[in-house]
Amino acid sequence: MDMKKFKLLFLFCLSATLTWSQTFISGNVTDAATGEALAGVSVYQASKKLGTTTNAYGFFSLNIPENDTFYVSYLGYQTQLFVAQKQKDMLVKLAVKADLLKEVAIKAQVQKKPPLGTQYIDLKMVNSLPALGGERDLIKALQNMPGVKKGADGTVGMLVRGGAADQNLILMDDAPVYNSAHLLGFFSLFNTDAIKDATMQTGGFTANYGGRLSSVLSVTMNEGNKQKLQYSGSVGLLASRLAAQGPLFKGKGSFLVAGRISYLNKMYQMIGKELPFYFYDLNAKLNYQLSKRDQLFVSMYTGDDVLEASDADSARNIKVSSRLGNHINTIRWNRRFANQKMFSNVTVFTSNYRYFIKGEMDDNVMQINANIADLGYRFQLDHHVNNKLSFKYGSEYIHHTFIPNNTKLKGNFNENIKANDATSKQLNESAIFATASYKMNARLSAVAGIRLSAAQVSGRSYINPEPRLLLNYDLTEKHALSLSYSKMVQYMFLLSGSSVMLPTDLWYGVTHKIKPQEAHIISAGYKWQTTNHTSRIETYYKPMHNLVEYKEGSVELGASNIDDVAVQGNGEAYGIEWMNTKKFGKLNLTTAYTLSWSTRKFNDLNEGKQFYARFDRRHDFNIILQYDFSKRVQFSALWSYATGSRFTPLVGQFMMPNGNFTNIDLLPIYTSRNAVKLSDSHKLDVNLVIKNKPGKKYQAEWHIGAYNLYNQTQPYRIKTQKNSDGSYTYKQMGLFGFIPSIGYQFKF
Amino acid sequence: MKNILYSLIVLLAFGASSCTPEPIDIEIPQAPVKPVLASQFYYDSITEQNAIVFTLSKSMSALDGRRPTIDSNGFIIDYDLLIGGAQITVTLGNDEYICQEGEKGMYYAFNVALNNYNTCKVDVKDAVGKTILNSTTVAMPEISFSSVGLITEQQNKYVTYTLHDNPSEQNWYLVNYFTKQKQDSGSYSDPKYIAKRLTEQKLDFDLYTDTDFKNGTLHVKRYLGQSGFDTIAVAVSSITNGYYNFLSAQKKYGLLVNQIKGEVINFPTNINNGLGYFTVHQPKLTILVDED
Repeated sequence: MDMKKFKLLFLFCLSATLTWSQTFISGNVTDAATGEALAGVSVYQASKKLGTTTNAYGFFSLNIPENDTFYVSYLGYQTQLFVAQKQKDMLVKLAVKADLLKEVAIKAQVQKKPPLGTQYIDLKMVNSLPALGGERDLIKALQNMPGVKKGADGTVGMLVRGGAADQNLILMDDAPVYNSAHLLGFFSLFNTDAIKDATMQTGGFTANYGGRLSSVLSVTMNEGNKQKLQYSGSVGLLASRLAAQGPLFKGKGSFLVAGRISYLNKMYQMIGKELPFYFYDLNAKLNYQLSKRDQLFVSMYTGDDVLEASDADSARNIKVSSRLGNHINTIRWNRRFANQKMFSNVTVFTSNYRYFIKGEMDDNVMQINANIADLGYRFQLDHHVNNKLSFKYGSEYIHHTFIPNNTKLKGNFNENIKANDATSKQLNESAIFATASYKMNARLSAVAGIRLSAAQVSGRSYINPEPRLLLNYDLTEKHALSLSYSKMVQYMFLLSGSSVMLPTDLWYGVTHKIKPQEAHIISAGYKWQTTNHTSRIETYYKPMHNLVEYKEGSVELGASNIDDVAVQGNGEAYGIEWMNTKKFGKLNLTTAYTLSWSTRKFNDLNEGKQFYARFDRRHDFNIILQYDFSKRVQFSALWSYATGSRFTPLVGQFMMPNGNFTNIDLLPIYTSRNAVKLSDSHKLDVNLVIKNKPGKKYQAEWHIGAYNLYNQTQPYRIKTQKNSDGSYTYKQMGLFGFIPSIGYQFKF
Repeated sequence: MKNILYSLIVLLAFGASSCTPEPIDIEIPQAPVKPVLASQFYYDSITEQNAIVFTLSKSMSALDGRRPTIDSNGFIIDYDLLIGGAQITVTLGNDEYICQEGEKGMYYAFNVALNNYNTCKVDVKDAVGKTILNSTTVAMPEISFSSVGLITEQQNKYVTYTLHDNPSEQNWYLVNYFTKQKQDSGSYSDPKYIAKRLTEQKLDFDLYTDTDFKNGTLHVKRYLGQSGFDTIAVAVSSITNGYYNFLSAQKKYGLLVNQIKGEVINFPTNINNGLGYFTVHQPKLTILVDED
């Protein structure tokens, strides 16, 4: 044997020895106080830079050298140190750390960072941020992220990377949510008492998600405290919350029930005004450990917005009532396989969004019903092959049933309102997917996947391959580059008017004529991270095809035959995003800036010429300041600035005889679509949190805040207003000025 | 607890009263002023005279507070917006008609000869002979109801009618409803009479196209109201696709839903260098008398 062969044999034996000396560990990480699974926990071996994070159900698996030490670390929890032994079914219980500031430093060293385009939402931060009327809101907190644009002031509309509001896949325990808002969009349906964690993807999409073009927001409900019975709640100016959670079946299970109700109508009554509108919602979840490796979750959400108005002063019998809401049910089964390298999740769900409007005047009654009902499943298998290679594969299927607009009339009505016995329409949407995560070397890793999606409607089928690729390259310990490509296909769409989104805007599915929407998202990013400082810059380019809009002049309460009123066209969005988070002792400063463009081009709109999207805001800047005066007193402030959104104002008018030539109508002349940019908007929101003494069984917090502290107008539309001299001028209208708030939260 | 509740209410009242931010001024360039043409082929079944009537006006700023309307004598009140002294020439097939001007901005030609599907042109010159707009359309043929009637149910008036459509071609229909059409001593040689006759007709119109027909037939029972009228005139016309789209937009623009949504509707036009719509269609009028 020559020397060269000997060396090769030696290297082979050495590498084999190294491999054999590695041990396989796996297990679950839970919160020590509540027993709830923790997602995104870092399991990390520092010296050899080996690591992973727990999945959404708290499960991890990792190969590391035997007897080496490794950390289990999570933001806000005490980091634990372990020695690697051949150990399966580990149960790591992490305790909440009293001093969060020190913990953050440890976390920054060891915790795995989210990949390009992904954000893990810190719910503690959501809770401390200022909010309209003092109501904490997950989606409004997300609106401060780079790349996410707000809709009108105070609303929960999200427009991600130049996309439309319907291009966000919002999941609650894996079930799709169709209307994520209450009270005309001013509050999201996520009760923060009922949320365990939330993750948002705006780029670098993994193949296990699809069906929308612009983002994926996956929200997981709390499982309930497995250790003790616990109550929490809040009382605010606009709404109150109450939640109870606790163990069941001798610690083998737990439950959570969380409810919320608004009483704006009652408060208005007390000051002599009328606003006959309120909402309520209820979350419930039950989980049960079927065996050491099997866990069952049952969850539900129900919520409605209710309007009940009547004209008591009128001699006529006039009543208007409406009810709209979501109803979601899921059953999930998690299984850890005996080899501990595979983890499966199966979710069966129903999701129903519907509205009902009834108007009565004397003997004339009009009723409109609309409904979208989903029945589906989602299956995913996580397969850890070794530290370099892991897979995710699975499938999903949703059977959509739509009743776009069922209108019943009794009595006599103008011919503009027509009875419509709309029959239900069906759409079957399905996908299979596979993703491989591969670490090529210490610096370069790739996540490559393919999603094969399909939709089948009466008389037509669509099949689309959706490739996904994400490359990460660590330049040094602190610096990393990323590059991603995702093709996204969307088979469902929401048709809204060009000016205003209403809760009565309806979801529709592709038809034999309306093709699926598509987007190709290319993004690149650079990330720099140290113990107290994180900075990331991402740039993206997103061409979109087959976008759907109302045909001009087709606005209706809702259309039963979508082919008659919809047109399709293309869009293009690109931009650059920067986010910076830095700690200065007790001060935490987060800044987010987006420079972006978003345009549309439809042959049948705007004379076929390109136009800006409604919320094409060139600059968007947010700065969040959080300061801990002490363990009991925290202050936060949010200053946001955004270039004005776009609007299509009236710029002329002309006389035209009506269709009978018997009177004169004054008809409008508009600018080209979205041609006018509204004035820039900016505002300052503040919030002060005062807690009772730490360590007490009864924990209480006062939240005292103000929205739009210096009462600045946030323009959302233009109207012509008559002056005192009879002339007219254009005015840009805002919705909310300075609004103070006070709230009380408790937990025991 | 009482104090807390009181504080909450005071805060809310304070917030609610102070939360309206001051609107911000903005200047927006106005659309250029353009001439506007509207046309109507008018046939009176009682006098058996026809007229093609035009109104010629100009567009105005969105900030113009004037709200033109028709007075009790049938005239458009705001004379500044009307264009008088123009010369309107209509060419129907081989025949050419020069319109007379009645009131300012209202032009008409009597007893024109229409031939189905003939090309119709209009040319409008200003007082110094310069062409300010022109347009071309097609004379649509006269059509009739297969049946039409007036019924009263519990004091509610309905008109019922049946239309037949040729499924092999695409068609668009306009149905007008008028409340009054009595014989009187007026004459169409008096331009004021035309306006008076027009304003006496108060009701509405409906639009139909092929998709509204089932197997080539359309049955309609149309509620007209409870008023004390006993004579209804119903007219049906075949119209062009372009005019159908214009009238659809006009109808939708006035709807409450559109007012709430503020939906943008840009009106189609077939006028070169101007706005409005040039149409030559022949309403077939039926008078219905409620014998009850």
